[in-house]
Amino acid sequence: MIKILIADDHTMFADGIESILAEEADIEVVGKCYDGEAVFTELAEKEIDLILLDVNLPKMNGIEVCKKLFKEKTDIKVLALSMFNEESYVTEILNNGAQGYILKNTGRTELLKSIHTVVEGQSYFSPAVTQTIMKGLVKGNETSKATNLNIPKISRREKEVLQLIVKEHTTQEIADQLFISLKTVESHRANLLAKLSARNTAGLVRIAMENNLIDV
Amino acid sequence: MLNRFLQTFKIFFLLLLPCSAVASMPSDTLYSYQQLMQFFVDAKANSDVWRTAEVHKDFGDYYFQTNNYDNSFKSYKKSIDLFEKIGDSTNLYQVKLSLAKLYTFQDLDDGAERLLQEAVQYYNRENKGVELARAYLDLSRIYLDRQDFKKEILYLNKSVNINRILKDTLLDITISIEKSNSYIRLGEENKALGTAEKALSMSREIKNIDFIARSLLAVGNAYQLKKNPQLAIEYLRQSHQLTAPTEAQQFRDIYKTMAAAHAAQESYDSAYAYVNKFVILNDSLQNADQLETANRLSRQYESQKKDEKIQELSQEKSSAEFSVRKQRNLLISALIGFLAILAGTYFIIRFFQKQISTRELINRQNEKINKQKITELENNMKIESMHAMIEGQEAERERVAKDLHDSLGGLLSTVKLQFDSLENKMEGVSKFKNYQNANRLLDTACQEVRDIARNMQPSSLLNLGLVAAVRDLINRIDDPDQRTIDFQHYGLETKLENTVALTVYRLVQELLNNSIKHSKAKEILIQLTREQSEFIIMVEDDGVGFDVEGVEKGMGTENILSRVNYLKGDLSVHSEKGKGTTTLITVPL
Repeated sequence: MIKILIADDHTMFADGIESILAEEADIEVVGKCYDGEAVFTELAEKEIDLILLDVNLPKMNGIEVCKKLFKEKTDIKVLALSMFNEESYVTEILNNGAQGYILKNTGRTELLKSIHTVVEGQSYFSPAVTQTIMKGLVKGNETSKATNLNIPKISRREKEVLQLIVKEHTTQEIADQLFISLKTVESHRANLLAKLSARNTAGLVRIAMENNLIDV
Repeated sequence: MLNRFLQTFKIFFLLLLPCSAVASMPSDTLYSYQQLMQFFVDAKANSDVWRTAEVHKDFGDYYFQTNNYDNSFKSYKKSIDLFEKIGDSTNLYQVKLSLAKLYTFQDLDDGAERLLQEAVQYYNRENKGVELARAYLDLSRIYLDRQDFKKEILYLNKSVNINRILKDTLLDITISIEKSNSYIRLGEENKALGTAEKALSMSREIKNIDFIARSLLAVGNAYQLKKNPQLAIEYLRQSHQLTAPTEAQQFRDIYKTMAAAHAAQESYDSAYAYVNKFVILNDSLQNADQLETANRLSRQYESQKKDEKIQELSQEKSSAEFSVRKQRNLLISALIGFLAILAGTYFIIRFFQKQISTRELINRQNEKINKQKITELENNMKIESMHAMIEGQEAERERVAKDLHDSLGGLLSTVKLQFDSLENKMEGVSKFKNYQNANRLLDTACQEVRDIARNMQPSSLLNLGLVAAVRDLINRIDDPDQRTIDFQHYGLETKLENTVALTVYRLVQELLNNSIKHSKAKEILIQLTREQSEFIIMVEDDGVGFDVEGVEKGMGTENILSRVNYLKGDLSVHSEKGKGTTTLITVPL
């Protein structure tokens, strides 16, 4: 017997899920709750195998519930149930310990399949969610810091500024030469410092030379 | 010395004035509280219900005049109950009209309208012309308050028609003045002037000073509308002389038009004086909090810049004054030195000429200062309204997105769930084409709700932050050309303030859209950098570029500019034909 807790603030939807699961011989809905904090009161009182967890719960959202739940080692499985088909939500809740992610327009058959799959210890995603994850993997060209191995892409304009910095031009000279304001030059310089993890202009020049970032 | 003494005396006298005015006011128009109490006790002692009802009404009037509106309301109510009990309809509706006035005064227009409509029905039934005409007039004022000018004129005309038979001159004048005012609001200058002059001649006929004053104001307003400030000022001046000192509202209206008329004549000094008078009176007439908002509005933005500019101009002014003095001294000593009459005359003439021209200079500076102030005010208003628009738009989007998700989205999901489980209950149902179609359409509907809500406002922005939202934005793009979109971000670990994050998101969205739509780029770079005191957005593509000077202001650029201004940021666009576009936005934090 699979003991299930439904956590969803949309009562009508929660009732609908309950009525469908009630017809299954091997599933028992042991509780329903309508906000994130209530999940933990239910857990304290009842024995639960799987939580059908809405991502967008009031008081404490699904991601925070997962964070708190999986801080300690637990056998409870979480199947996220969401209106959102966004890569950020999927990644975030999976990183925090959920085993599956299905969209709310899931039908009966898929719902039952996902429950069984997750209880057996495997992951399950709605087909549309799988697509979203794939798309993210293909498009993901994201950088947030420089490492020795990986220098972020320098923009065309930044490269022009960098070249003039290496040639020891002053900010005013760079501004005049590129027909931009002093403030714009300063902004480009700030961007370069941030993306190359340099602390000052000297560092900037060193990293630029070491990595052949400029055409000399 | 004497002058100074007189001035002090005048101020002292002015300070005394309000006290005496307040003390004498109630007894002028009404019974005193003691008198009313006496009446009340007498009526009670004689068990005279009719008299008690009347005293309650008088109490109501007394409280109304002394600004005690709660008590006024209670007294009117008591009076209405009693008159109703003894079946005295005539007095009952009189009190109802007074109550309607109280309602109107407190902006409870719906209540007032209901009472007046009741009264209209009653007076119609009883054929009471004068009262009916007055009730119509009161009704028209309510519609005026609601800016429903058509209905206002409708009820005014009803009132006129009745009065055509009654020939009540006072009412006739009142209506004419009201009508003239509504014509002014509708911009029909000739009709406005005609009715106002009619009111004036009637008022003069019956020699009623109050009405003459009111009519003069109406005529003045009409002339101002006809762009004849000279005549407007003349009539307003006469009106001002005749207006009773207690009519604060009328004075306010006079000052308002006076200011406009003087401004039209380009005598800004006088216009300013009248604006000041208007503002002072308006202050005392309007709610204190409304005023506070107005003040704050005018103070808030760029006040520092404004002050500096004004200071600069006044410095120029004082240096000009200084040079006048210096010039004068020089000329006088020259006169003594030469002692030649001819030469003296020559210098005197020159001296006066100089003085006149420097005085003109001072005047011009003054005018400049005034104009500067006016444009500053206008700019502030513009900024305010733009902020309000952006904030309102975002708040509305957030609400709609939330509603879509919470109610419609939940409902659709539930329907889908129930519908899909039919398959289990009715064997073979899934073979029907209708069933399959409906099932698929439900999925599409869920998808649509999701898409619409997300386009309104991405929920990941508020829940997971700017980086997650931009990442989703990039992932979502259905790009047949398969462009590479690089996303770099530095220092965004700490959360930005919600309004800043939202505006930055919208900017990135707009810039990215522009680039995809117009640039034919192969690569797009989005870069967000948070520094200690500023936030830098950079979007660069390698597309076709455009001529920065020649680009017309489309909806997109307008949106970008207003959002950058909203964040008090800087926008720099660099683009050349065939060499791509770099947009850099710097926002102070």
